[in-house]
Parts: sequence; C-alpha cells; structure tokens
Amino acid sequence: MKAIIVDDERLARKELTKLLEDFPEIEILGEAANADEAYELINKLSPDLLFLDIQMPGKTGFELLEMLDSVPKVIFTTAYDEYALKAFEVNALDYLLKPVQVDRLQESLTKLQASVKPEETPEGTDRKLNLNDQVFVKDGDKCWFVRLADIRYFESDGNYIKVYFENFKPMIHKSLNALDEKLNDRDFFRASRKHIINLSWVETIEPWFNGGLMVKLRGGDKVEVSRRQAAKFKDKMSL
Amino acid sequence: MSKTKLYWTLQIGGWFLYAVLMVFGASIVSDSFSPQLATPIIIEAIFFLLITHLYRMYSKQRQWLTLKVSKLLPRVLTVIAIMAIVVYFFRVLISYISGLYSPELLSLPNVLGNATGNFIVLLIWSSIYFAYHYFERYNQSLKYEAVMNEMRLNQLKSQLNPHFIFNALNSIRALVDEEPSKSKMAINHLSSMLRSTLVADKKKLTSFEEELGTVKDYLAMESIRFEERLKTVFDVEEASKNVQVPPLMIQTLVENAIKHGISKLKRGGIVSIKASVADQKLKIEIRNTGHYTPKTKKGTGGYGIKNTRQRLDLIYGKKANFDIRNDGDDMVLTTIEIPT
Repeated sequence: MKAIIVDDERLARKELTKLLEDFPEIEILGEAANADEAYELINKLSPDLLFLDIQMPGKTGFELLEMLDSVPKVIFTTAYDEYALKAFEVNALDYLLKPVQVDRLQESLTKLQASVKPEETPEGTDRKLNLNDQVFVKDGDKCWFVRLADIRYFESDGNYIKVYFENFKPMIHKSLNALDEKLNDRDFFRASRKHIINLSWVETIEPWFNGGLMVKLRGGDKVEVSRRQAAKFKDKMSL
Repeated sequence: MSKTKLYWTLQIGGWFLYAVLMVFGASIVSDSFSPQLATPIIIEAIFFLLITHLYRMYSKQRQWLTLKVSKLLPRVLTVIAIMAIVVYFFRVLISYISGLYSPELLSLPNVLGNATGNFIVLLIWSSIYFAYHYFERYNQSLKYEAVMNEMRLNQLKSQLNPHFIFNALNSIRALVDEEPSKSKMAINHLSSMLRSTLVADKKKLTSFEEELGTVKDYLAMESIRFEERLKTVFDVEEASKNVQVPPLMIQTLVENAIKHGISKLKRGGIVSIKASVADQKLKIEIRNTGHYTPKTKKGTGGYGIKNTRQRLDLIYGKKANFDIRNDGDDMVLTTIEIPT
C-alpha cells in the first residue's frame, strides 16, 4: 500500500516513518507538513492510505479531507483530540494515539488490509470515481466516510449538494455539475438538473408526465428523470 | 452600591432613625411634643454621627480590621467607653447652652446611667460595623479560595495538558534515535516542568526567577516540537528576578501564546518575554506572533484570561494590571504589572 504522512511536526513524521519501517507492505510515498501541501501531494501521487494529524496550522485534517474529491483510506494520528474523534460514528474511522505503539499500529494495518478490496479499475490521476471510492462528508459536528456504493442519490440545493445515504442527508459544498464530471457514468446517472442517481440502487422505472420517467430507488426514494435525459436513461438501462 | 455609599447611607439613616425613636420616646414619657424637647436630641444624634465617623477613621488608620477578635475587643470597649462619656458631657454642654442646666446632671448616678446608655448605643454601632467587615473579609477569602481551587484544577488540567504532554513525549521518542543527548535534555525539561506544576499549587507566590525557569522549560519543550517554527527571546532585568509573582501565571499566558499563536501558523513565529521594574512595579510583556480576537463582545477573553484577571484582582486588588491586545498587524502583546 502506498501511503502519505501528513503532520506539521517533523519529529512526529520521522517517528512514524521509523515505526513503519517494520511494515514492508506500507510504502511511504511522501510527507506533508500542512493541508495544502498534502492536497497537492495526494492529487499527484494518489496514495491508498493517509496517516493524518488533525490539528495543523492553516487547515485541519478534516478540512483537507473535505477538499478531496475522493479520499483514500485514512488513519488519524493525534496526541489527544477526544472531541474531534467523537464526531465520527462508531467504527467509522481508525486512529492512532501519539506516541504510537507498535502493536496498535499493527492492529490498524491488519484491519485496514482486510477491508481493502482488490482494485479493478486502473489507477490514474484523472480516473473517474467508482463505487469503491469513498468521500469524506462533514456536516456540522458530524463526519462520515461514505463509500459511493452506499449513496443512493445526490440532490443539488443552492451551492450545496445533499448526499443521501443510510438515514443521513448531509450537505457538501460543491456544484452538481462538478461532481457529475468526477463520477463515472457506468454507475451514476444525471437524472435532471437537480439529481444524480446511483444506478445500482434503481428498483423500478415508471413513465411520467411530459415524457419523463419516475425512478423508484431501493428504500423508497423517488427521483424524476427529465424528458431530456429519459431517452439516454432508457438506452443505458436496456443494456 | 459602593462601600462608601453604603456606609454613608447606613450612617445617616441609622442616626436619623435613632433621633426619631428618641424624640418619639421622650414625647411619650413627657406626654407632649415640643421643639425644645426634640432639638437637643437631634443635636446629640448629629454629634453621635460625627463621633462614630471619627471613630471609624481612627480604627481604619490603626488597621483594627486586621486584628483578631481577642485583640480588637478590649480596644473597642475602651474607646467606646470614652466616647460614651464624651457624648454625655456634650449633652450637658448643650443643656447648659439652652438654659436647661442643673447641677444634678453632673451627679455620679446621672453621669454613669447616661454614659451606660450611650455605651450600649455605641456597642451596637460597633457590632454592626465590625461584624459587617468580618463577614466581608470572610467572604473575600472564600472567594479567593474558590478561584484558587478552580485555578489549581485547571492548571493541573492544562499543565498536564494532555495534548502538550503526549506531543512532547512523541518528540522525545523521535529524538532518542536522532539526537540521544537532546532527548535526555528534553526529559529534564519536561520533568522539571511537571515538578513545578506539582509544587505550584501549594504556594500563593513564587519568585519571578523561579517562574521564569518554568517558562523556559516549557518553551524548550515546545521548541523541540516546533523546531524552527518557534523562536524565543528573553529580555529580563536583573532587578525583576526577586519580585514575587503568582506561580504559573506567566507560564499559562505563554502557553496561550503558543496555543493560539504559534501552533496556528505554518511558518510559526516569535515568543518574546520582557521583564522590567519601574515605579515599584514589575512589568512583564509577552509578545507573540498571531492575532488576538476576544471571544466575547466585552473583550474579557477566554477562560485563561478571565482567570488571570480574577487572580490578580484577588491578590493585589487594583494595584495590579493586566492587558492583552494586538500590537501591530501580526503580534499580540500581553502585559502584566505587579506591585513589587
């Protein structure tokens, strides 16, 4: 696994690098001392794993994750941030407390490797996002890592997008057009100006007014497909 | 209500009430009311007011309020006994002036009887006055205790600030490989810092030199962590070293300078500490790179600042000063003045 270490303290980065020497399966591609440096490095190297400090000068670790279109696996490293870590749902994240203990690190890495599925799509800097990718969503005090496969649909709402998954619909600050460009069109479909749906969640399709379609998703949500998109949609689904 | 205002309200109100009651009583006894009856009583009440005011000034000047009850009591009794007799002779004088004098007024039973009455009135006055002040002082010391307890708790929490401790330990761990000798020094800084924290809550004041030592240990630890991002400058006058200061007060402020200043800046910055003595005051100026934004509209700032103000106020009253403000575009200046 290719990893990047993000921490504002040189000694902390060095210590973690040293500890990771005993884990040959982890290859460290680079280090960053703040969120902006990390952002560039991640986009350039697309690592599989981030070791990420939360409190950093400038942007925090969370803010970095919010900037990314797709986030790699993340292991937070922190000296003491009980409040920050409480933002997550149980089991939603892994974190290491500094100074890091070897067996805790071992445990995290084992857990991580078990959860990684073999990648089918080729890696590339401008590849499109597929169902296995995850995004980081922060809404108020709550944070989630959400796999795209779990997202039923996206709905634009002013300058924000509502992300529908499980029982949640947090907002992210992005435009639907920009998001549409990032998502691969095998799995996601732009149903209308307002909606992008996850095709793997589609349950039934009914004709609707004006030549449009009404798509019912598993779980009961209904999303309208505009007349303009309906033909494209039929094409796609008949395949 | 200010204390002076409260005093005058009670003083004037009390003696006015005394005069009213006495006139009322005298009217009942003689079954009539006349200005001739009321005037001497009112004059006497005014005299009481003046003499008790003098009495208050005298007791203040002699610092009776700092005395123990066992030492205070004989002094009070002696002085009010003298006052009781003086008041009575004043009354005799008034009777003489108003043509009501009779030699009988100077007979021993009359003198003793009336003086005893005055004595009781003055005793009541003294009880109220001293009881009020004892309660006030007791309250004040309770308040001081409460703030100190809160302080100790927070100091312990912030000194053993987990974020700081664990980051420090993490740096030391990395140093063990990189620079073993530096890691040893770091352990010394950390342990002497922890030691001064443990000792600090037992002392009300400590020498500035000692406090400065703690601050230096703390900054040495943070320098290891922040490396080239933290620069420290000390400019300490020799004369300031023996001045007594509240322990960990400057340390807390320096810690704030790191927490809210340096640690938020990618390129870090400077923390400078300047101490000088002038006009019998120790002036400590802490400058750090960063920007100060008061947390509340009143500008009272966060917890650490509020606590520092409270602490200075309780120990020194109005003789100490505390101020935090922006100094230019990218510096924050925190100033403390403490009487030497």
